[in-house]
Amino acid sequence: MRAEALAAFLRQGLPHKRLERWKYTDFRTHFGGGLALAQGGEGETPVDLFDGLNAHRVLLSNGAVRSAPEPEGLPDGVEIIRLADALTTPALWLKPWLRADRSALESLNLAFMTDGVLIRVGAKTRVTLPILLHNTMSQAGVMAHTRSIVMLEEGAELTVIEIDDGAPSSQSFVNSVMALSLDDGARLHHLRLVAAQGPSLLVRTDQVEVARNARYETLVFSSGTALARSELNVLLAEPRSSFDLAGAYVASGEELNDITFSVTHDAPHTTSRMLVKGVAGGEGRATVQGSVIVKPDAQKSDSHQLARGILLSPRAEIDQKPELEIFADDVKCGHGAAIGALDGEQLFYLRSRGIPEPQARAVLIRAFIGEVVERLGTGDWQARISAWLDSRLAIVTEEAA
Amino acid sequence: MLEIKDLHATVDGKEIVKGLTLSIGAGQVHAVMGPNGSGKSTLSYVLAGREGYQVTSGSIIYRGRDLLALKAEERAAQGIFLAMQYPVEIPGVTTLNFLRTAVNAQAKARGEPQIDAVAFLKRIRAVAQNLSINEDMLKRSLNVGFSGGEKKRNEILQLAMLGPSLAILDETDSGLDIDALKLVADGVNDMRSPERSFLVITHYQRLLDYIVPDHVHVLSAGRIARSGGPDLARDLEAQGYERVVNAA
Repeated sequence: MRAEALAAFLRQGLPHKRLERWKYTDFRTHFGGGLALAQGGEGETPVDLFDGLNAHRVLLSNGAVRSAPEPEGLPDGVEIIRLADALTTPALWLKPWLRADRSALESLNLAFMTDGVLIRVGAKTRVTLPILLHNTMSQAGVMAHTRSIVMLEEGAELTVIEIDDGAPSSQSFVNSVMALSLDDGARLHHLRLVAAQGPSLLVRTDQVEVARNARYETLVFSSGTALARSELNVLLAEPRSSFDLAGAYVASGEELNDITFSVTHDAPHTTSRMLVKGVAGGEGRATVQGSVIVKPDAQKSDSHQLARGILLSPRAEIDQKPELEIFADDVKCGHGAAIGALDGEQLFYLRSRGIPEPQARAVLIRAFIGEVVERLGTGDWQARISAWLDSRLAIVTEEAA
Repeated sequence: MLEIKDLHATVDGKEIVKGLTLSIGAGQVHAVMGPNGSGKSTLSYVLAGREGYQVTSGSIIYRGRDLLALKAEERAAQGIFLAMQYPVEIPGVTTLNFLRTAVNAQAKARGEPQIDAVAFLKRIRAVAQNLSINEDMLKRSLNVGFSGGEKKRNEILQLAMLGPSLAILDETDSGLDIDALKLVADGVNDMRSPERSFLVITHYQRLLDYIVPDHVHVLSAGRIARSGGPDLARDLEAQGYERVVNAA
């Protein structure tokens, strides 16, 4: 399996800008090379943004699981298994999750994957506490290929919060792959915070399959690292399945944040909603690509995507590309995209009331991102994410001043 | 309070204000009337410090200071307030948060303590009630989906909460029906005091029936063509700008 995956990777090589899906995020030019495989974590347990939060915690450090809940600490119907353990006695059910026929980086991941977790939630099980996946990379000059699987059986409900952090001193590469499957009527609330800092490259690739009446909701926040790409591929496989994405990025310095998604409506009465907003300042860049495919059988599908960006400096760049491929005739599909600067009239209005310009800018930027932040709802972890985002906005706002 | 001397100002390289001189004493209400394009709104933006409104010569002294040396936010903190003709919509910022931010920013600039959240809420509720602004409106995004009248009442709410020394009302009466006009005028009249001056810019005499000015000026082609008492406004209404200006 690993050899086959490596061969698949070598045929394609590292992604580069001549590939449509990597047009604005030229991975090859960012990748310095010469990275060794990460060897797992050591030293003190790193503290994350969610320190002290009531959750089932999994810590992945430098490519290996350092801690995970004991089975007796989990509610009935919930299983969390280390991938490293599962791979020592590969079960038949694992096979479909380890395919080498996808993208180059997924093949590379399969060839060198070290660890990850398999999360299974049994039928009708509603998990009240979130499962927190903390993926940290502290080592410099290494790459980590982790792979996780989330399976929700019929009618199961779960919230997964993921945070990627760490600040290696020189380039590292985190290449994470996640497969998610939602059986009939399942609901998954998936929150992802890409909060690493420094010169690292971070690419996440998700493959999601959503069955009848199931709903996959995801929120993505990305800011702080040299290159962060969150790629999401969603298959609405059965009738009345739905997908909702809300994403926000804050690109300061020279960082590049990339949110790329593709949704395939493969059954009738399927729904998808995508909203991505963000700001780029300094020499920061952002890429937002959204592709929606409606297959011939997917009549009465309903899809809408909207991307909006604000440029805060003349050297910042935002590339947005919505795409639609529709093969059914009775569908509702909309898309919108806009990029602009802060509104001068709004800025003057705030200043004329005595709000100093840097603060007025911050107020307007926060209000702009607010539409995405509102989706978080209220609560402990929501407040922490909101505060983290404010700290990122403060950096990009100061930079613009 | 305010001394404008031989003011010349351009917008996009075009001279709009051409030698305007005006003096407003503390506690006085001055009305500036004039036809479209006479420079009324330009004057208000120049006073508020909007970018793109270039003063080419002349001076503005406000409470003994050179106003033109100050940024928009500094002028606001020094007590200048402009009620805008077209209040801007700001999605995602509630009136409540916006005003608390503004009140505190001004307090900070003046070296005064920040206002307590509870006290602020109490005060804004009382002022809002007088202007028939309900709680729901305070929690909505600033001016978003507000009717013309609601936007203007919101401007007066801000005026009352910020308590400026010099309030400039730029065509606050435009787009208001008679009830809303009375409400706005009452709001302004409640604010009149010996320490507070008003510059009321309007097309029509109607507003001046409710906010009675001490002085009326007619602006024509970027300068003051005539000045007089409240009667001048009535003459204008009866005879039109052209005759009154030409008679000067």
